Amino acid sequence: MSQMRLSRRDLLERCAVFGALVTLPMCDIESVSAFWSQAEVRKPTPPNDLGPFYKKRAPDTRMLRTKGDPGMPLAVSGRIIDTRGEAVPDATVEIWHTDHGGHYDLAGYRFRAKVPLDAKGGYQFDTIMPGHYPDRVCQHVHYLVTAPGHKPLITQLYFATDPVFEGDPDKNFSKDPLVESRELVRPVTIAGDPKTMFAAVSFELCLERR
Amino acid sequence: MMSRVLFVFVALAASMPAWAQTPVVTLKAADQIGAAVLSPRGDRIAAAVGKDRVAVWSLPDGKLLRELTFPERPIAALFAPSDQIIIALAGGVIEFRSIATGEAVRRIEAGVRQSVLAVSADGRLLATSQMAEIRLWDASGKLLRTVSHELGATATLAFSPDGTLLASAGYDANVHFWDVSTGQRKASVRDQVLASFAISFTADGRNLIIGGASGAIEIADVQTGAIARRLRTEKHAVSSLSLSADGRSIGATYFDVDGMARPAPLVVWELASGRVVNRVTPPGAPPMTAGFAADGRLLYATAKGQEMTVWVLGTGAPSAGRN
Repeated sequence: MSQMRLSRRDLLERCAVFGALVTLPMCDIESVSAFWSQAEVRKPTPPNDLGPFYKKRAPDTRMLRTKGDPGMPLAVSGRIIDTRGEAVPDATVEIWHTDHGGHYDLAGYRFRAKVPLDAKGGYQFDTIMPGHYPDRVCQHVHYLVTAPGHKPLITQLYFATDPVFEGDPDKNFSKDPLVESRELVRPVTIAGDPKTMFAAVSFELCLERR
Repeated sequence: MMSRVLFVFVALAASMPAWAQTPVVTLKAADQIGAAVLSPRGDRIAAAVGKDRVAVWSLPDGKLLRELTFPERPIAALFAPSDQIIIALAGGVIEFRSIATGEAVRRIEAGVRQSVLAVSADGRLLATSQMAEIRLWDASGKLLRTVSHELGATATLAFSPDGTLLASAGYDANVHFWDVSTGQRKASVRDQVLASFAISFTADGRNLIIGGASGAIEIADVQTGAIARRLRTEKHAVSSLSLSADGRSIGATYFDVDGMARPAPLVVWELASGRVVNRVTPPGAPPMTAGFAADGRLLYATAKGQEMTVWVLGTGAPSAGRN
């Protein structure tokens, strides 16, 4: 049996025009309840500070490291989704972090990028593990994600292997007062062979709709 | 490369006259000294001390005038235009504290997590910010309006000399000009790629002097937001800007982005020509605040632990004495 499925926008528009009591009889209760149970299935990614060293006009690239860069190679991948679990392939993902020595490139664009997305909202970039620096406790990668129809997301990615967490990020994540959510501390997998060893991290980002 | 840098530094130091860097007074506090601010006339200095205090000293004698204790950590503090009041933002409350008595003469509930504070030249308007949102208040505590940056937090705020415009610099690398009476955004500076940490209107209110992570001093047209001029770029980031009373000179303090406690310079520029009038790197610690005294000399402060030193930087002009 075919079933009329309303998008959230359809539902909201009908409610706005006719009022909720008029709208409900126009579709069966099951589809409405199914809709709402699917509507907000994901929690938005917790925000975190933008920090003082964001730089506009970063280059479009997914390869941030160059041969000879000191530091553990790092591959970060994930998807941009919304709170309904739907991909947001038209998002713009900007990332930036320090070099291995904990230095932000302010003069140029080392370790700064606008990362391209695939049709399913997937992204990946290759870089090096950021360094520590004196005025900040944890290694981190900054994210600024914007997308039409969604609230901008400013957040940071942290690493469970960061020595600051002493092997127990559940207990120690707040050693850096700027890490406001344990959720932002992601597991790190060591991959590759001994000659091409790299750290791999998965970080899915969930945007709120406007 | 390093030897060349050292040579240039030594050459600059050797060319400096003796008055270029003279300690006025060294002040000792009971606890760690944090941020500091000089009074508009340069005859007082206030500094955050420990977690919950603001201490005020007179200059040049270094007499402790008052230690003000707050229920929560003061996030920002500045002198009211009269020099007799400290306006501090602590625990979401703007407190006006009399330096003479230590009493709170006024309190404004600004809202939790407000973190940036500015006051107009006539003391009638205040602005605070929590993340991207900026709140504009009159001095009685009435919330006049709320405006907002697009992204991130507000780094700093400044009123135009006549109090008709509020400039806001955000960590999103944008600077906006807001009409105080309507809350409308009049213009924006969008040509910058890095965030600005310090802003100051020129004396005539037509331009905004901007400094930040790029190390450049830029002068933007208030009407259009276009960058009209760029002064020489330093390799450090700008932490504060101070305009002289006659509006002809600007003093800029800098910090090292790779370590805020590392030495960094202070540079005085002649605005009309863009010429560097003076440049020093204080020994041991970066300049944390600077301000022109009534006689035209630039005062600045450095701090380490519980000790703060106030220095005077000559400009070559004869001293007219203090007011």
